[in-house]
Amino acid sequence: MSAVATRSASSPAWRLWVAPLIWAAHFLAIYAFTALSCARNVATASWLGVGSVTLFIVAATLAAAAALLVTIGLAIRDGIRARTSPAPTAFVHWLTAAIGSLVLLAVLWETLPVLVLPVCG
Amino acid sequence: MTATSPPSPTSLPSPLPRPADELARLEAAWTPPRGWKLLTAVNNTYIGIFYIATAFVFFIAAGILALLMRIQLAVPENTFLDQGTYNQMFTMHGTVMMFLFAVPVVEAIGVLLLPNMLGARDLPFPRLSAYAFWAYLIGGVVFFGSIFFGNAPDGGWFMNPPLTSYRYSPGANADWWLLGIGFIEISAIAGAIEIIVGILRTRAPGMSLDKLPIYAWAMLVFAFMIVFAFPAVILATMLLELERAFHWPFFIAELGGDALLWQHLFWFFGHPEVYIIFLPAAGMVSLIVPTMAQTPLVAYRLIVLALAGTGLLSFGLWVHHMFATGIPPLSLSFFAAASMAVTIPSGIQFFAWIATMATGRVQLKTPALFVLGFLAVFLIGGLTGVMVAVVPFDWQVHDTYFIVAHLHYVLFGGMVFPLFAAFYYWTPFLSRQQLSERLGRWVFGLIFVGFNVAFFPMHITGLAGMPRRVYTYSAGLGWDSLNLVSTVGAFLIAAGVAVFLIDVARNFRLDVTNNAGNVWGAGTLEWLPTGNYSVRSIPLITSHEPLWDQPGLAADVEAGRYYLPGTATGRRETLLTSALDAKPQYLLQLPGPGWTPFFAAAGTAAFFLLLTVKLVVPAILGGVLAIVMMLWWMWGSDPGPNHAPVDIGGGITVPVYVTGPASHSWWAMVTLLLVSGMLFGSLVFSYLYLWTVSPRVWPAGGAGIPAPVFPLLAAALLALSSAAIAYASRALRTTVGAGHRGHTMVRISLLAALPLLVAALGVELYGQWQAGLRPTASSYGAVVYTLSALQGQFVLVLLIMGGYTLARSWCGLLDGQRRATFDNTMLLWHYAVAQGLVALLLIHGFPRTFG
Repeated sequence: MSAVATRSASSPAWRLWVAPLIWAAHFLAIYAFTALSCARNVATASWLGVGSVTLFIVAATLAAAAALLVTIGLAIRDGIRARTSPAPTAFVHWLTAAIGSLVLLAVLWETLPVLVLPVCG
Repeated sequence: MTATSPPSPTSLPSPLPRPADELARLEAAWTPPRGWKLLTAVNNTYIGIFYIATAFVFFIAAGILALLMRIQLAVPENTFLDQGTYNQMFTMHGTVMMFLFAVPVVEAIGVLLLPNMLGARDLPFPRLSAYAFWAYLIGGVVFFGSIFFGNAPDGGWFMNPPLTSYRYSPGANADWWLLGIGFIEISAIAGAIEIIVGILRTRAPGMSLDKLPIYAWAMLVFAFMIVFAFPAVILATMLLELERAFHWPFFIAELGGDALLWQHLFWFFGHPEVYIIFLPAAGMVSLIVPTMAQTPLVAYRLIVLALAGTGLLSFGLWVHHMFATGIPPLSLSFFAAASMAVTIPSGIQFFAWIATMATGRVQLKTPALFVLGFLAVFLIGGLTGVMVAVVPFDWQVHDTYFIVAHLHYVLFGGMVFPLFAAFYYWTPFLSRQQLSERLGRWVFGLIFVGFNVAFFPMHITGLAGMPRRVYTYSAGLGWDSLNLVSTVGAFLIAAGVAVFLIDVARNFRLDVTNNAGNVWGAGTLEWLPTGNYSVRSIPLITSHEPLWDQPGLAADVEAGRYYLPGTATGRRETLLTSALDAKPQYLLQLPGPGWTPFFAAAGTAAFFLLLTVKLVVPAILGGVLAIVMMLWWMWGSDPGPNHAPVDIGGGITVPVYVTGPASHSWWAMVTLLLVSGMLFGSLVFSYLYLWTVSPRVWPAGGAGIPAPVFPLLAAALLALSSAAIAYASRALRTTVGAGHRGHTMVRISLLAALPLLVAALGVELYGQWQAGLRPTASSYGAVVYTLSALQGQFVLVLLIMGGYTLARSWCGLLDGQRRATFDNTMLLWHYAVAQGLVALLLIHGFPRTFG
C-alpha cells in the first residue's frame, strides 16, 4: 500500500456490465417481437417454411451468443494475461467470464421454447 | 483463496505511541446528540437502529392484521370482519410487509452494518440516510393510520386497475397507496444510492472487490436492483394517479388504455422485489454460516456469481405473475424458462452453504437454528416456485391459497428466518449483552413450527380450490379444518415473536462502544472494537476473514496503529478508496448532527400525504419546506480544498477534496441518472406497449401531429441549453478564486441555459395543444403529455439546481477547483437534454414512421 490511487476505477470492472446488457437486449427483443407479431396477426408470415418469429428469435439468439462468446473469450484471454496482475483484476476477468457463461446458458434456455411451442396460441 | 500476507507489526502505518489527545479528538468529533436532539442524529449507528426498530414495529403491526384475518378465516361463514374491512386488511398486510417492513429492514441493516464491515467511519451521505429514514417513518405511520379511519387501500397489494381506478375506487383509499407508497419508494432509492457509493468507495484499504464480504456483495446487487426495478413502479403509481386525478386514460380500454400495462410495470418491479428482499438475507446467511461453522465460506467466487446472476435473471421473470392474462404462449415460455434458469444461481448458494457447514463444525446456537430453518423453508418455497413457473400448473393454482403458501414460504422463509438469525447473531455488536440462548430456542421453535402449521396446509387448501382474498367461505367445501389449523399456526408464530420481544426487553441494552463483542468468534470487520466513530484506525485488509487471518488485528486497530487513527481535519471524516482495488484516494469530510434532514423529510411527507387528501396549498408549502431544507443542507456540503492534504499513515498523503469522476458525489449522481433512465425507459415502454395494443388511437399518416417546426425548434433549444452548460464548464475550469472574468461567463451561460430549457418544453407543449391533442381523449394523448410532464419534472429540478449553482457562484463558493456542485448540475442537465431529445424523437418520429 504505497501509493494513492489516481483513477476511480479500472476499466475491467465495467466489462461486468456487458453480458447483462446482452441478456437484457436479447430478452426484450424476443419478447417484444413475439408480442408485436401476435398483436398485429403477422406471426404466420414465413420464409422457406420457417415462421418469422422463429427466424427472428433464432437470429437474435445467434447474435447474442456470438457477442457473449466474444465477451467470455476476451475475459478468459485477459484473465490469463493478468495472472501476474493484482488479484482484483484477475477476479474481475473471472467474474466477467462466469457471468457471460451463465447468461449464455440463460439465452439458450430461453430460446428453446420456440422450437416446441406455438407462437400465438 | 485470495489472502495475501498480513503486514508485520513493525510495518503498520501509524507507529506507537499515539498522541495523547488523538482518541479524545476523534471521540469529540463523533459525539452523538443526546435527549430530544437525537432527532438530529445522522450517523449510521443511530439511523440504522432507528430504522430497524421502526421496520420491526411495522412487522408487528402487519402481523396483527394477519392474525385478525386468520381469526376471520378460522371457521366458515364467520362474521368477525366484514368484507370491506377484510379487503383493507389483506391489502395493508401485503403492502406494509413489503414496503414498510421487508425493504426498509434489509436496507436498515445495511446502513447499520456496512460501514463497520467495510472499515469505514460512516456511509458517504449520512444526511441522506437520515432523510430517507424520517421520510419513511412519517410517511409509514400516516399511511398505516389510514386503516383506523376505514380509509386504507383495499385493492390488493398490487393494486390492479381497473378495480383501483376512479370508476371502481372513487374514495381516497387507493390514493393513500399511490402517493404514500410512491414516496416511500423514493426513500428506498435514496438508501440504495447511499449503499452503492458506500460499498464501492468507502472500503478499507486492501479490501479489493475480490475480498469484499459476501454480505456487501449481496447489498451491492440489492441496491442496483432497487435502482433498476423501483422506477417502474414509481412510474406505474404516477400513471394511475394521473388517471384517477385527471382522467388520463392509461388503463381504460375504451380510450386505448390497457389494464395489463399496470401489471407489466408493477411486476417488472414486483418480481425483482422478491430477490431484493431475499439477496440481503442470503448475504447475512453467508456471513453467519462460516462463523457458526468456524470455517471460511466455500466457493466465494461462485456465490458472487450467484448473487449477480440472481439479480440479473430476476428481471426476466415479471410475466410469471401474469400467466393467466392471455399473453401468447411463446411469450409466456420465455418467462417460464427464465424462472427456471434463476434456480441455478439460487442452487449454487444453497450448496455452498451446505458445503460450508459440512466442512466445519456447526455450533447449533440460535442463529444457526434460524439458518437451518431458513434452508428447509426456503427450499420448499423454491420448489413450489419451480412448480408455478410451469404455465399449465400455474393456471390451475393461480389466485388460490397455493400461491399464498408459496409466497410465504419464499418470503418468510427466505427473509424472516434469516432476519431473526441476524438479530441473534449481531445483537452482541449493538448491545452490552447478547440475547438469551434459551429464549432464542423457544423463539425459533415456536416460529418454525407455527410457520409450517400455518402455511403448509395452505398448499392443500389451494389445491382444493380455495381462492385468495375471500373474506369467508361456505362450510363443507373441505377447507374448514385446514383453515382452522392455519389459524392455530399463525398464533404460534405470534407467540414466537412475543417471546422474542420479551428476550429483547430483558437482554438488549444498546451500547455500541461497550458492546458484548465478538462472542461468536467471527472473522469480519464489524466485530472489531468499535465506537460511534466505527473503528479507531482503518485497517489494511488482506483476506475475506481479516479477524481470522490477521493476528492481533483487533488490538492494533484499537491502538490506532493503522490508517487515520484520529481526525485529520478535526471533523467527522471517512477514507475514500478506489472501486476495484480499494486504494486510498481522498478524505471525505462528513457532516455532523443537524435538523435539515428531519425537516426536509417532514416537508416531503407533508407534500405527498396532504396531496392525498387534496389539501393542495398546504401540500405545496410542505414541498417548499423540503426544498429549502435540502438546499440549506447542501450549502455546506461542497467545501472545496479547505484543508491541506493529510497524512493518513504509512507515508500516504491524500487530498481532502476532489472533483470529477473520482468524486463520491459524481458516483451518486451517475447512479441517480441510472434511476432516471429507468424511469424514462419505463415510460417509453408504456408508449410502445399502448401503441401495440391500441394502434387505433395513434395518429395515422402523420395527421394530428404538430408540424415539424415544433420538434425541430424544441430540439434546437435543448441542444443550445446543453451547449451553454458545456461552455460554462469550460469557463469555470479557468477560474480560481473570486473576481476572475470567467465567473461572469459561467453566470451568463447558466442564465441563458435555464430559459432555453423551459422554452423547449413550452414549444413542445404548445405544439401538441394547438394540434388538438388532449391528454384525456385517449391513451395516446395521455402518454404524450406524460412524456412532457416527466421532462417538466426534470426542468423544475434543474431550475432549482441551476439557480442554486448561480447562487453559489455569486457567493464566491464556485470556482475551477471547487466545482462539485456545478458538475452535478451539469451531469443532470446533459441527461435531461438527452432524455428530451429522445422523447421528441419518439413523440414526433414514431407516429410518422409507423403510423
